[in-house]
Amino acid sequence: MELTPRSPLTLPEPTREQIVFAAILRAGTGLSMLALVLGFLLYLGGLVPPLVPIGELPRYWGFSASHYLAATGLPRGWGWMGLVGHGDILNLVGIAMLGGLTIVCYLAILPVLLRKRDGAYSVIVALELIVLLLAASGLLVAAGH
Amino acid sequence: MTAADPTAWWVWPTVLFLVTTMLGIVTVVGGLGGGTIFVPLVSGFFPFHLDFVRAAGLMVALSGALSAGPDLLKKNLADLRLALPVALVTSASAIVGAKIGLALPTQPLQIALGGIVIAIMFVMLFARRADFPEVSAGDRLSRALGITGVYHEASLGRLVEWRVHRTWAALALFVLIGLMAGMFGIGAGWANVPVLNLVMGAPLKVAAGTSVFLLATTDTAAAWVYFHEGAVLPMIVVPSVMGMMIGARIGVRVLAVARPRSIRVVVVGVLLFAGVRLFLKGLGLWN
Repeated sequence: MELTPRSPLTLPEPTREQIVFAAILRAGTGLSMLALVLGFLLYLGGLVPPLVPIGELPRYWGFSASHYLAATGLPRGWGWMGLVGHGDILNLVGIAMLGGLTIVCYLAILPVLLRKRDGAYSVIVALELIVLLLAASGLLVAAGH
Repeated sequence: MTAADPTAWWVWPTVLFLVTTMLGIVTVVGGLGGGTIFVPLVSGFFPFHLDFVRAAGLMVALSGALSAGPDLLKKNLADLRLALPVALVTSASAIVGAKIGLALPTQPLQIALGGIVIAIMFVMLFARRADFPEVSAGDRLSRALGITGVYHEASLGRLVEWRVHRTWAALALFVLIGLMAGMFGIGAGWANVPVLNLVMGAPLKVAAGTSVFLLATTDTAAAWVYFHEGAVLPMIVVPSVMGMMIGARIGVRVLAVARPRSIRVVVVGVLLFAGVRLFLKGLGLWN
């Protein structure tokens, strides 16, 4: 490690990919949080009726996830999209936005790395996208059941 | 749980919000990740199933990491060249960990989680930290990937140039870290920082900043598995995330006047208590 009080080192600007990543992260986090809070207020306020009545939740939250799905009839994977008109399911939109944010950031920096002809990191980011998209796709649910 | 909980539905979510707000304050002042303390505490003392708590723990850690990420990246305190290869390993293993965690019965998971939480407490108490580890030359992999950087160390008022070594050994450790993060839903900052700092030789501040960035990717991967398996219950996730966010903002203000060392002692005590509770709950000795 080099401490350099007299060296000619200059503090480099963050790389282009770091700036892009940071900008998307900042905007996306704010937007996702807003969606999360709005969805939850609509749910709590009863403005959008939930699929599982709010007063019955204590019956279910001690169940395992698989038992909960079986008891409520909620679908695995992306099946909730068809039920998004219900207050409790509507909340999943904000949560999915938070989960998708990093993926958007990786998608945005891949062209930056390609333009810089940074082969190793382009491959690493492409592989990371495959991993995250696989997790987000819901395909692993089908594989596990 | 086989019978209906007689408590009104809003009681536990309200208590959860208040507790996570306190956790948010304490974790900022104590310099810890929220997910690490959230999962043992909530699964130990709330009526929610461990599946829902782990998913909420991942979302809490993810939200915190996403919020802190932009500033860390802009200040070069989270370094993408260091983070990206590690993130690839931790995210892939976190998915495997999450699948294993959701397939295992609850009791052995509680016992294992209790044991790990107690181990984390010892890591927090006794792990060394090196502000500026000595790395004379990077290893072949880190040189090939160009993992090196410069950041401004405000406490010294000068620039610090850094590089890393033992990259392969660290990546092997990150496989285990990702597995545990996915399996137990705990943020992995407590493990990321020592490996980045002591094994790879990144300066402590770069290790801490890069660890936060890593959490954003690792927890995203694991959270999607829990999400698709129906373990994300908004009534648990949203109060937890909001409480932690509000608490963290209060914590930043409290930080100016608090005594972090005392707070850290309290956090370690809470971790020990929650770990023992979980361990005994898993053994059926304290239900």
